[in-house]
Amino acid sequence: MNERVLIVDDDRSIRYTVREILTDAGIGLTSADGGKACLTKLRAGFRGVILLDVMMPEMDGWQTIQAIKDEGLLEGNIICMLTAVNTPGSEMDCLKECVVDYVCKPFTEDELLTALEVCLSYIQMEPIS
Amino acid sequence: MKILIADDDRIFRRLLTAMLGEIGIEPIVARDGEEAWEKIQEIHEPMLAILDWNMPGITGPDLCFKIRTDRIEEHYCYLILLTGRDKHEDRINGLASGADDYMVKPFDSIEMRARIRTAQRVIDLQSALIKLNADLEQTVAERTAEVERLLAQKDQFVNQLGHDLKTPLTPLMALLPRLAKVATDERSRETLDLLIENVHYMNDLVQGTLSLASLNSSSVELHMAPLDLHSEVRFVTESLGTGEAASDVVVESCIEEGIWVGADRVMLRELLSNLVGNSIKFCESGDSVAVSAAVAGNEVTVTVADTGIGMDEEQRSLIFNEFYKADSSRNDRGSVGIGLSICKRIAELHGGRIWFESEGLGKGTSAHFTMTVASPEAIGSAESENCELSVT
Repeated sequence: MNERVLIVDDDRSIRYTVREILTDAGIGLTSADGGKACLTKLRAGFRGVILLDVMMPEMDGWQTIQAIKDEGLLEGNIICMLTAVNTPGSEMDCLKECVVDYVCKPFTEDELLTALEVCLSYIQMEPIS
Repeated sequence: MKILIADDDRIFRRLLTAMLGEIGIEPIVARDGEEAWEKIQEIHEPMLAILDWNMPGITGPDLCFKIRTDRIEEHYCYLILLTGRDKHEDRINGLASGADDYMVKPFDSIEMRARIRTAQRVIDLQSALIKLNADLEQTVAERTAEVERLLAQKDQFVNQLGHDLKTPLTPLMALLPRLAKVATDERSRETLDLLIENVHYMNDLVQGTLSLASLNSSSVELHMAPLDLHSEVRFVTESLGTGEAASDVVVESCIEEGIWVGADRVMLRELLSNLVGNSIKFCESGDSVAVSAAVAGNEVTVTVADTGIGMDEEQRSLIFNEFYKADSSRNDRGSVGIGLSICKRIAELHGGRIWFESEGLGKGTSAHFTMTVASPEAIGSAESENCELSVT
């Protein structure tokens, strides 16, 4: 299946949950357990929606975005943050131009799919190079 | 203890100096009131000043008064007036000017020493008192800092715990309903429904605790804006009247257009939503909930009145306590017991009040809160913003 979503979360149960929901919805998914693994996937050519957890050890979500930008891997990708904080904090200000949406934990199946559909529609709107 | 003597009579100055010398004291000497005042201001320790009554320029009593009113009293200055006047009213006037003691000429060295010992006792007591006060303030400051540190630590702990609980709640919230949907046998479905109900309760508890913790934190920020009460209430009543929890309780808004309040929109909606939701929860089928508002001066009182089960005096006094439930055995109401604590905090953050009225069990309940009316200028700018928004 064509992988259109990359879930980046250090928590196995969150990766499993997202996989369960997306598989049934027919959305291709690949996963990474942290910022470094996420960068590896992008270097290998993944382009799509990055569902990115904020609080992760070693490299948090914001540091991951910074690294993606620094390596010039942002193009062709849409970032959707996965957060346990209800409102985005001030640290989001400088990087918010890179973030299209955010999903709050704990989310329901509908909440996740609604957010992802919006993000996927952005990808389809972008010109194919 | 420093001792200053002030006398315009040279012979008397010598006599006093000699008397003090006998007991090993070398006094600071001033020849008139002005000089005494200057020297006193240079002394930054507990002191005794022996002042003659009749001096050119500033008299002894005038100087006493000046010392008591103009001197910055970091250390006590014990004052003895020295005079040949021995009338009853002189003594009264002398002490009234701020002197601690009064000594009549002529006197001998024995009386002098006795008076100095008294002065020393008072000064020691005063010094001890000043030190005690400073220590007390220091202790209070230290304790306050400690309490604030612990409160911040508690807030941080609650926040961390709340966020940590959200991650394990996610698979439960997202996956259990999927299982329930495909469960074929009655027992599994029943079990899964019960699990889902419990997970939702845990989620409400986590969200409520985090919400209250953020409202209580010192860094809470209010985004104040002029808000049209009519549309805010309508938003809340409509969203509560159409959701899953919609029952056959009638919810209506009796608020006219044109009442504007200055408030944080998210918080005002949460306050209204909690109060209306609470009313619905304690209504039976066929009851109704009505939201109304009354303006008095620059204050609006918003009332959420229901015809539900009402409350007694005891329940009314406990209702704003965190985790209080009107009936703790009634878990099926889905109450966490935190919503009204949140309401109270929101009202307080807006400088308003919140209270409940009920004629008793079975007679309905009215919740009231106050908000400040938004100023006409603020309303004007908000209206023009709305116009712009509706155009784009």
